[in-house]
Amino acid sequence: MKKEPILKVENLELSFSQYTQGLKKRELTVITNLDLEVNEGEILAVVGSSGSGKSLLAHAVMGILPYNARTRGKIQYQGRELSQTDKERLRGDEIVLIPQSVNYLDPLLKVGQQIAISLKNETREQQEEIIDHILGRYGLDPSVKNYYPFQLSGGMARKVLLATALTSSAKVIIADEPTPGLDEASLQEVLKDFREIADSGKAILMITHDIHAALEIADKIAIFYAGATLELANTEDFARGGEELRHPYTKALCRALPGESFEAIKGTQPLSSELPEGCLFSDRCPICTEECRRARPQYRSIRGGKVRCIHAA
Amino acid sequence: MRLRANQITFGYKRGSTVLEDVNFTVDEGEVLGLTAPSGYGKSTLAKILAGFVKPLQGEVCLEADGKKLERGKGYNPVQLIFQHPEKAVNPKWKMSRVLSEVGMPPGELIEAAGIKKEWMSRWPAELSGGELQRFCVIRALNPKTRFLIADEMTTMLDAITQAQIWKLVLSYAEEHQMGVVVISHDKELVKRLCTRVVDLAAGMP
Repeated sequence: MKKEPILKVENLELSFSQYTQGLKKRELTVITNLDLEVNEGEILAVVGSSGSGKSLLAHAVMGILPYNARTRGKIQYQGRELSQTDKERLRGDEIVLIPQSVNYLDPLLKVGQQIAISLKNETREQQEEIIDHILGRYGLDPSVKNYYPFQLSGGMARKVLLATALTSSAKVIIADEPTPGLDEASLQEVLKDFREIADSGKAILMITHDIHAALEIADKIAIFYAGATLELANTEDFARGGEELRHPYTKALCRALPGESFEAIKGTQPLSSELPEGCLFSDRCPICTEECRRARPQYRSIRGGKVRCIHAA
Repeated sequence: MRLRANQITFGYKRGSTVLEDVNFTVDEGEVLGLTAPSGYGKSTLAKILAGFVKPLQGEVCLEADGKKLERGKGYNPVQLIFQHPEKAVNPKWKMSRVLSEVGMPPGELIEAAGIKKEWMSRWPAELSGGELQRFCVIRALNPKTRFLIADEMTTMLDAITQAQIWKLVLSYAEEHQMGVVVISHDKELVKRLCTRVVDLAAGMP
């Protein structure tokens, strides 16, 4: 029997209504075809171009999108579709977010108190102990808990953000860019923690630019581009310069890594207001044909992964 | 020309120092990497190098032919690029104004950076981080810029955009003999870009 994924996003579409001039409004669609699923005990890494909707996905699952956002498609948790009320009930307890930006810390609250928020059932002393322990594990002095966020460096604040989520007992952790600003030693520690948490039966969705970190710990990697999932790859596919990868964008991404050939393809991701009718990558793709420009390719399964490209084989 | 950090010491609180006796030099046309664990004062050092923060002791100076140059008013020859471009542009200026604050960069450069014409009439909030960072890089590539401090310049960007921006900066630096200081945690990136690496953690407590 196939196990039901704990979190499943199906054909998610997200749009913002904007005022253009005066009282004229327009719908700006920023996410078009997002699909992904995470199982218990699994880490799914989400990589992709900046501005491809990775953080919006996280915010959609948490139900913290701004008021002018509209979503279509399904977000399921434990097989049940989530409504806004469900999201509000679950978030913080069963689904937690490690936010991307240091700005998400409360500027008027000492960091120790912010970490303690997720420790609801412990006594004061137990909380102190856990906080000291987790700070120590990331190489921070216990005195850091008495600091205010403005006193932290970028890397220290990152560690505090991680600590707030990793001490909680949630079943799904969504980590939005958990690694930038971390030095090598702390990075390894964090990745190890993620793996341990996943192995204990929780699901982690790790949104990141750091493909090396993703390859180290993730089970599967989803690749986003211009608001759509272009590929679901296994970590082995990235070996040997990414020959096994299915989508031309993923191959280009792999080749652009500093550790690979550091090659950059030309152009930029299309703006959400001017998405092409056909394949989203068509204007930069080396193997693009007439057919690619006509219609969006379907998401199909190939060689143990999934891809949205008609040429993949 | 040479940028010299001479016995820089800095601390935010009395009695505790973040940076202690930091010494190094960057020559024009050189690409230098600067690494250290988080909290060691890399970003602070970047601000000191660009002259935004005054060190408690020591000085940052520009030298030519072994003589110190006076750093007067006007264009700062040491330009700093931040990790978060959205915080480095005026949200109430359209992009064309952001870009031309010290004069419009040449068209070839704008084109090489992959900046589209349509972006010029947009507000910063209507562009993604990768798109904004291209503007921030291009506006600093002025002939009067002799040294560029890149503080985690491409950490928030995807690998393709990262490679695009660095290719542009490196070719510009070579052509105009501009010195570059690369501050990054990404070992592979530093290895790829830099000819020399200074580790701040070495020789510090």
